Amino acid sequence: QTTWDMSVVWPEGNFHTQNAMAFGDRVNEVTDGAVTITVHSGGALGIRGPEGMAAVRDGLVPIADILMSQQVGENPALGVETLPYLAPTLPDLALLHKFYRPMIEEIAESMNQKLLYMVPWPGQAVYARQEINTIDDLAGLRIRVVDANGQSFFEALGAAPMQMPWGEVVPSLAARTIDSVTTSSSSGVDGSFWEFLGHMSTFNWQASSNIVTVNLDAWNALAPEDQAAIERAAAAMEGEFWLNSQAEDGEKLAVLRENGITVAAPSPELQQELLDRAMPIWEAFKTRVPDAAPVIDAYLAARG
Amino acid sequence: MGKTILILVGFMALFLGAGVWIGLGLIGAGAGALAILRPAMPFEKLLAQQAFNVLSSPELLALPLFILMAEVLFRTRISEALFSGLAPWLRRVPGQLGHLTVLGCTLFASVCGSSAATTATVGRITAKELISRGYDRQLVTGSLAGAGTLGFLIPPSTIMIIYGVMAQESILRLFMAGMLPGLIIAGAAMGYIAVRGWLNPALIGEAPPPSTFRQKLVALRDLGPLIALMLGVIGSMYGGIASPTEAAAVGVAGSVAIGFWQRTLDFRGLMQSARAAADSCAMIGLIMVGAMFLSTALGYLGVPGQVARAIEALGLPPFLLIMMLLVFYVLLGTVMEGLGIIVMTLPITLPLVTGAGYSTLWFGIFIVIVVEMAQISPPVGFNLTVIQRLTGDSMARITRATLPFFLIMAGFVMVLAVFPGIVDIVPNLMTR
Amino acid sequence: MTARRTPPAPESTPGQSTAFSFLIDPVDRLTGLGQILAGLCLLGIFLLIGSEIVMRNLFRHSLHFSWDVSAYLMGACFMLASASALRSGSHVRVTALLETLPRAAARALEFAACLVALVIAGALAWALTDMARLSYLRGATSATVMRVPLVWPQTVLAAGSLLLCLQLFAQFLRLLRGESLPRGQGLD
Ligand code: NA
Ligand code: NA
Repeated sequence: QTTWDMSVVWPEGNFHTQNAMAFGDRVNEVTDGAVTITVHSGGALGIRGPEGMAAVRDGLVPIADILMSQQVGENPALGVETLPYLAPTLPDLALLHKFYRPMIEEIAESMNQKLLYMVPWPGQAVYARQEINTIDDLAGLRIRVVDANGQSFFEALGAAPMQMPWGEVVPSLAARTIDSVTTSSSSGVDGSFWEFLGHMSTFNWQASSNIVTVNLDAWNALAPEDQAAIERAAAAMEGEFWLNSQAEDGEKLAVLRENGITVAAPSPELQQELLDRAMPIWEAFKTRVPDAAPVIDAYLAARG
Repeated sequence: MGKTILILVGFMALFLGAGVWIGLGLIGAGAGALAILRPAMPFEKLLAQQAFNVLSSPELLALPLFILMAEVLFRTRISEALFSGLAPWLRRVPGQLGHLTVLGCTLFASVCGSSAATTATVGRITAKELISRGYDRQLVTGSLAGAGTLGFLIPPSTIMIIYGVMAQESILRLFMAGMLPGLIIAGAAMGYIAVRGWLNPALIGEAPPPSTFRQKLVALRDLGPLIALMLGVIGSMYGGIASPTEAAAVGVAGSVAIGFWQRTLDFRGLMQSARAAADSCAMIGLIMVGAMFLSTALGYLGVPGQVARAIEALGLPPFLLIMMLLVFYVLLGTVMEGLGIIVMTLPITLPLVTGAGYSTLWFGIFIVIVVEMAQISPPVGFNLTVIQRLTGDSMARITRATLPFFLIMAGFVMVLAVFPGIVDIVPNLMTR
Repeated sequence: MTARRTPPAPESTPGQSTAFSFLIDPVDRLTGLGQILAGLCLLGIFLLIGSEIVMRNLFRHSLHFSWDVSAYLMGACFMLASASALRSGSHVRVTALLETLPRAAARALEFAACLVALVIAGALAWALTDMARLSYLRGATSATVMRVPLVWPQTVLAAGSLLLCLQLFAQFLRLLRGESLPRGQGLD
């Protein structure tokens, strides 16, 4: 009889939290009640995003839902999928994972944990006051970004990227301290962006996934048949969770449209321009994190 | 659950009662409870992580800046100006200058999103001056601690932002919804001061000299620098020049400019302000580390969730449910700080409340007010400790002085439960 | 009233014991140094955020490190001034019981409180030092644009907490030589 407290930083209504709860229920079922997972949403266990893997490693929690790209401080190779335009669609991302997953499993193991499943977020869009049709529409745009890739990508596009905590974003949009935000459809709905911004361009310039990992000491304490049952459940549910992610994006886009936001995809010309400006960032990354270069090259070769 | 709470309360009574510094006492209580109930937990990792979290949170940056601003302003002639500018106007009002604390806090709350910083700044400018003019010490410190909490209810507000993100409610609507309740509570506090002053003139200090209307208008001129400073901070925030946290830096810059212009501040004075402000920051920082660690320990031990589920199991009618939650949050607020309270209880209480027919917006205002009450309930109450640092009075004495204002807020929560529409008035006016 | 003080150490009155001065004085000097550094950190936050506002509004260029570095300076300010806050009586505590007890019992309680505080602050210092050490060994950096090696900010926090322990020890020595624990100065 084992009970695991699971740390999730997203609010209860978020689809990752819902996935985690569904996974917990399934685990309870397939282990005949031998393993129970209690999901603590909203960061209620005091673990913030960037500390997820460290917390599992140190045994603060036996299991956690973790935004992988926030763990680059522990190992820079965990930031591969956030390279701009490396894997802009879900099929691309699935292909990338084929080559990338063994590396993630290895990194997880080196941090005393085991990867159970990984689920992508909807892609990163650009919310702005005006339509973005050409690269010139981005010139000088004060856009809020969250990571180093966003900083260098939007700098390369001629915008004026800046960082600020999420809590400052809404007041800053209201006061026009910033003109634009790059984030997912879910976060756009969370922030009621229609109160300030009229347009969303589905750049999908950046992928990112959450991983669910379990502390190896906690894992090894389980009976082998329970381990096998949990592994099977994780593998079986992962596909379902990917569909949830896709459905989430569709639902949230509908909410944005309902509230009057124009949702548009960048034109093929703009797409090409964006891609051209993104590729040097891949090269810089491969030089900085040589361990990850083979993964990127193998994926690009397979995608053709 | 009973055992868990008993152990926690035991440790807290032991450490805090013995006079261990509050921040350290909270760390000790959390560590003690974890050691007994969760012996496998590597508590030193949790402690280090929580401390690093609190101490490197960009969300908190406005707090040290506003405290620095308070120290700088204290070295200007702005507090004299506040008195000379407003005194002629308050002469005929029952309670007279006693209202300065509440007025000052209400004004400053519209600049500052933190309640501790509001209390510290306004307290620094007004408390000593009022007491030296013969105003009752209890009335001054109590109203300061009480009205200082308006920093959270009157926008901008750090607590509302946290709630908005957690509950997926528009932060803008929350800001608008907080204005009217904030003004009502400020009005009630001033009403209380007026009645006390009217019933017992001994509580009120020396009266300002009589003045003509013309003199009254001229007196307002003294308020010029202060008004310019407020407009500068508010303008930078709503004019798209600075984010709410950055606006605090504008406030510091403005205060420094006033100090240099009035020739009451030089670089040495600025350094002295920074050192004094650092001491205040360290005090608040250590308590925050302790409160966050204890809150997290409570979360690991499952206390807030279990209590909330017990309330759920009672199946109360709406009004009684809200009253029960009020009691629950007041008890929780004695030992936990605002962020912890919200993060740990919201997933359970929000569905209860919306299920009873109240809106997410309404619960946001409710929770901001109960968090404000937590700021002034002992033993862990940030505004009480800010006042203690300011006046040197004992915690018991400050708590007694603050009690009427605590009750005003509790009373207003009940009004809010009966007339939930109060929170919608301003958002509806401003969005139509 | 405009000429203001930084909170001084509790004055020693003439005739008071100067025992342990050789230990207490160096700790007090370090404490003062910590407060100066903390004050500089605070001014640093002000200058950094101020520059960000100016850069962004006048030059449309954001200093991408302003939030990160300001947050680390804030932690440094909070912890480096912790010892000095203790010495000046800024750190608050509940004194209700102390005020009601007879003198001898109150004095015993002050010793106990100081020792317990020393143990807890020691645990905090140990925890922070260990975190900084592990961050160094693992090469952990922040996840933001700056990629700050975490060992730096964490070492500063650990140093501040060690200084707090030293000052608590100095307070214990002061108790031994007959002084009482510092109280807030109050309205002066
Ligand atoms: Na406010
Ligand atoms: Na409290």
